[in-house]
Amino acid sequence: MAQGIQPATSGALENLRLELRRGCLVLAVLAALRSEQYGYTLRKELSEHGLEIDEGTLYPLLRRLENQGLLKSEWREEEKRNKRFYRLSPEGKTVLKQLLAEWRTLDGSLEHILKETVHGAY
Amino acid sequence: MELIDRYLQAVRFWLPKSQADDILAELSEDIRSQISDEEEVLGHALGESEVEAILRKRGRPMVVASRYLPQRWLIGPVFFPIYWMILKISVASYLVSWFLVWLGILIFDRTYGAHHGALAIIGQAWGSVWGGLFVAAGTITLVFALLEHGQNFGGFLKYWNPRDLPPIRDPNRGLRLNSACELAGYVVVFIWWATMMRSETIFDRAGLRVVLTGEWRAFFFALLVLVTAGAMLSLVNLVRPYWTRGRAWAKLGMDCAGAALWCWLFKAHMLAEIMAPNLSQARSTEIVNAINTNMAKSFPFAVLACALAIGLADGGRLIRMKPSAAQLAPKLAIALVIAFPAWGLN
Repeated sequence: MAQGIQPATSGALENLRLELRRGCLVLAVLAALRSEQYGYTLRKELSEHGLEIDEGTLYPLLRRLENQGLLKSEWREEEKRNKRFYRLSPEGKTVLKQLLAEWRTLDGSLEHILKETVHGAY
Repeated sequence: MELIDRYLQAVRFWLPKSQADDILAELSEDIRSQISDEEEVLGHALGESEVEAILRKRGRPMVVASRYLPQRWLIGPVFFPIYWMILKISVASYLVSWFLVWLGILIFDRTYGAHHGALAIIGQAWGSVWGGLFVAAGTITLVFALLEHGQNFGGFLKYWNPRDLPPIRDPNRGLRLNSACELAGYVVVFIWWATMMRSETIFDRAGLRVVLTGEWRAFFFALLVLVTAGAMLSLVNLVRPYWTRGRAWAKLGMDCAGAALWCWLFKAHMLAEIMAPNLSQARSTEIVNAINTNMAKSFPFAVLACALAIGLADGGRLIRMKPSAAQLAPKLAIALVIAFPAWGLN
């Protein structure tokens, strides 16, 4: 019997994947903005590192992070076009440090759980 | 590129005014960066079909705009912006029309006011408004919930064409067709007014005669001047179909004068006599008095309607113009909305 993913399971998987990505994207955006960038180059950089993000998700996220005081932005002319450059604010740097610590703890815990489960399974 | 501007215009429609410029500047820059990038890779300027493909991939303007709005939905995320807009318009229209009808009953139906105390009237009115409001809001919600459910199957998000977006709108550019129709209307009114309404006896046929007071002459000439001025402005707009500040102010002045004249007609007790076969003198006087009194009673409504119409049409036009008119126009519109009804209450 073919073992394909059933539509209901596929929907649930998609929702879980989106949920997992959401938190990671915030972390990735904050990490990428340690150096100043404008929206389009940021999107390209994330994509080059395997994190595809569409503009409809990125720009509202950038605005939200700026409203929370984690980013600073500035309109500037570059190559004869006005672009909005983003970078981490001092608060953003602190928050990124804390989030990365949290991320590493979670990652370590997950690895640990996975190892134990594998050992237990055999 | 025109297609991009049309796309941005369509996105703007769904955005809150306070953030629209900022969001669109960034969105526009992102689209143009993507186009530059692709042009660099392909080695040639993108054609319209390639730009169209980029826009199509970005999604429907309403959906793009909705991502910048607070994430809330009752019926689902796709149709929420249009659902919310229609719900607000419907509720506001329902409340305004309901209030006007209620006010009319209160003013014209003396028995209603006499048999109910002020608190009872307010309580009854408050109670009855909710039933209709609930049905209206419920129906709209149900229709949009069905649409939202249906779009999953109909491919609403997937199948759309950027070329179908409305053309770029310039609010200061008038349509020549509108000006031509307006001019034709003024000419017809002028001829009819000058030939048929000159005398105080405005109707005299088949034994029915309607006579107005001597004040009619002043009203007649004033309106003739206004119609002439309106026709001249339409002619100028026909030749040069672009609203300038001077023309917008002139239109505002004319509309204010016309509104004042129209409202005065309600209060002037201008009807002097009605004569008809089988109508006694006493009955005729009774009818004349009733018409004059009811017109005078309608005066506040006429004033309110004129103030709203002028505030929306002329105020709106002046607000769109920059820069000095934009500073004065809101104040003027507020003054009109306050001053006209205040006059109406006197």
